[in-house]
Amino acid sequence: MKESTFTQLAGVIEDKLGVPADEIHEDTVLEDISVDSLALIELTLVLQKHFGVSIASDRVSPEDTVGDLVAVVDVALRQAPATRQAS
Amino acid sequence: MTAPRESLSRTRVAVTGLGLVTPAGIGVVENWVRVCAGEPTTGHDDELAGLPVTLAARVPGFDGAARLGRATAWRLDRVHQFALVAAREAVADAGLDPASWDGARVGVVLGNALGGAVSHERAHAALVQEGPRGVSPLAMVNGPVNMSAGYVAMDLRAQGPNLVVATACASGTTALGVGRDLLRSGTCDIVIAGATEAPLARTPMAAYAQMGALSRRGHDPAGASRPFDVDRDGFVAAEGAGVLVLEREADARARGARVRAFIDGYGASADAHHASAPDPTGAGAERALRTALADAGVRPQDVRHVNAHGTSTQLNDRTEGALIRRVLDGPVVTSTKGVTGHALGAAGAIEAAYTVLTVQHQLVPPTANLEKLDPDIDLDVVQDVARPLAAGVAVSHSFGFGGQNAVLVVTAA
Repeated sequence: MKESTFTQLAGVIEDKLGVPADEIHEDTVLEDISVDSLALIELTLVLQKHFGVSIASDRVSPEDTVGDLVAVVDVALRQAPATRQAS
Repeated sequence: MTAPRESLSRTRVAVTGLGLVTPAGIGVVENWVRVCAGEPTTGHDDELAGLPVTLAARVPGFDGAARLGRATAWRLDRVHQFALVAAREAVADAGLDPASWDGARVGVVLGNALGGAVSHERAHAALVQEGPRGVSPLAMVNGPVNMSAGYVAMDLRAQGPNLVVATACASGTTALGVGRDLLRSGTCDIVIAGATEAPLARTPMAAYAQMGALSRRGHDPAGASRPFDVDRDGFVAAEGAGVLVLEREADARARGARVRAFIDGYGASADAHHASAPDPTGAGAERALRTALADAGVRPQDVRHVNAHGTSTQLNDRTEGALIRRVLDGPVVTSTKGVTGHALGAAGAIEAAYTVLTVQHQLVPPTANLEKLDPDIDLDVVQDVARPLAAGVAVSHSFGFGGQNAVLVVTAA
């Protein structure tokens, strides 16, 4: 079964930022795990490659939560299912 | 701590801390052991595969994520990671605690030549392959040369003057001279001074190869960097960082710090001659050397040791050899680049640290790979094994593209 968007996103954050996946929750605020504005754009670039879709980085800010970012990714995935290539 | 300007101008500046991240190892002790053993570090570099020259000297086993945490390492180009690791070591070595110091009185002066070369290159590749929306915004806080000093300030709460100087391969030496002057002028009480470089990206390495500056001794990688040897054929590019903690002697003594050595003289000049070749007369380099000696108040015959720029290029080593012969009186010479390769902008700071260790331990490391001294170079170059050194004055030379020269005078404590 394919992993949920949240699980994959938590995996990317653990890999890049060293925050253990089991400490990342839907309500975790991004800036609390060192994701400031520049890092957020970088993170969306990483997620674009990971999910194979175009993600609008301006839809989410460091004050938002991991869950908000998951929602943005899910919107992108729904809009471009044909190009989806989760890894 | 601020004293009248007149007395400050003659104030001695002490080296109280060292930090090193080089191909010879991570940490001062590891570096000193390998450099004194004369063990070379050059090899063929996988990242440079397909280029005309693939020889390079990398910092072995450098794991930025393990040392700095993944969140920091993810954001920082290798050039800044080196600076942070070396600066942390230097500050700890000095017995200083950033949590308790007056950050406004702590300056950072680093040297660098190429900035975040890998970051620049990745950003350009993304632009070409994916268009502007594929370019990482972090490229703009990783690429510019100033950022290394900025990150050190953030990491160590150093809130005084903060800058990066660029004089190509003299940058590290220039940074130490400029940093010393911030103490002499009374502007700072502590200066974290040194340099960093992470140049092993394909674009700059292709350009260096096109210049004909790099050794092509591909059949014998370990022997490629061979300063002053008759068979030398170019330098080996290296990466790394060297950081020194500088304080006025009185301040260092007052807090009971260990003084490893003094930086007593600094001289700088420009050849005003050519973009990459040294002035064959050596006049510019000589001005820097003589200025540094006068600044330290020492005579040429007082200099017992030279840590040479000694890049292993035909031209540098011959011109520098003639300079040492002409100005000084038979000092014991070494080029530690035989071990480390040439860390470009960081070389001067790494070699200043080695020079401090040399006068402190009264032991001159050998010039690795020196098998047969070039008959045109009439110098006493240490060969094969480290040689004991009588107490005294040492100098460290650095000469950069653009004809930028810088020399430090280092004296035993």
